[in-house]
Amino acid sequence: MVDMNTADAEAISLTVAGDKEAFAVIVARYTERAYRMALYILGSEQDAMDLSQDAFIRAYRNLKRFDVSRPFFPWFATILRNLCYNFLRRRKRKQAYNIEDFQIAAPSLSSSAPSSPSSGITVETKIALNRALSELSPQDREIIGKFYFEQLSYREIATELGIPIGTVMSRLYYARRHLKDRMLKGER
Amino acid sequence: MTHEHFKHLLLRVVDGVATEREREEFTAHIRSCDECRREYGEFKNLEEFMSAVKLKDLSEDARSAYWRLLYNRLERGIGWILLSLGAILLLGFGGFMLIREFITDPTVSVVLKIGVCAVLAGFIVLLVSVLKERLFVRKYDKYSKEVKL
Repeated sequence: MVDMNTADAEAISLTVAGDKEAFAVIVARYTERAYRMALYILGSEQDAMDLSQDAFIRAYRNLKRFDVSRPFFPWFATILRNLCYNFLRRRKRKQAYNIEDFQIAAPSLSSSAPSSPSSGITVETKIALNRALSELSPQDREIIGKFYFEQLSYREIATELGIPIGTVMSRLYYARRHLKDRMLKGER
Repeated sequence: MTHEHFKHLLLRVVDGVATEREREEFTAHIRSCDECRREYGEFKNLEEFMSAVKLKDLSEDARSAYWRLLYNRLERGIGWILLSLGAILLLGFGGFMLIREFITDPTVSVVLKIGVCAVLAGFIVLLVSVLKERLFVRKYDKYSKEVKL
């Protein structure tokens, strides 16, 4: 009997043995994370839904080759990232970016965020942030998403992306700078 | 202080992971460098702003629909594969019979037969070429090239 307490390795072994419900546990555990990761790269809710599902299907079909002694998500994330960038490469010629899809929830007033003039985020600021994020490259958006929205550390980002910490810092610096510049440009 | 050194230090200070010595080095630098001081201020503002922003969570409906759709796609996958294979076999066989009849028909002119055979041969060459390209891309494409929108 599988439930949400079943470990990844056990659920994967059961899935390989033909138990689809075991795979449902894996999907439920990583749906949000997978969807968000796709959303950072693609910037479109619908595309993020479709591509993250495609990644789960590919993962399901290749689970036999997965080494259960390793963590599931980095392996899955590689499949998802490949699908997303491949999709963008094709979409580049077909469709413009839909900035309305990159949804951001304003923090509540009781948020534990530091008190500052920016804490009360206005609709205009949300739109400006939406636009700024939409104008970033997928690589910048991906690392920004992992850092700010997932709140991953430099080391965790390095592990997920398979790059050295120094490269993470460098990419984060430029991504935040690009975001800052676009935000400032939007305010003018 | 080089620019590369500054940008790493700036991130460490802004993210609160700099050591006491790094903070002192950084503070000393921005006292005498207007450009770096301005950039530090802008980064600090961005941090304050971004720390207050959250992405919307998936709704419960969306989460349950997610698995339902995924399950359906998993279930139907094998059905689509069998259907496609069957269709390819039937179409291939039907096409072969049609062509054989056409080629062996003495009432059809030789020029027309050559024309149809050339079109078919061209189609097969193109199909094989596309398949080869697809397989090659699948095998060697590391998806590592940068994609700019």
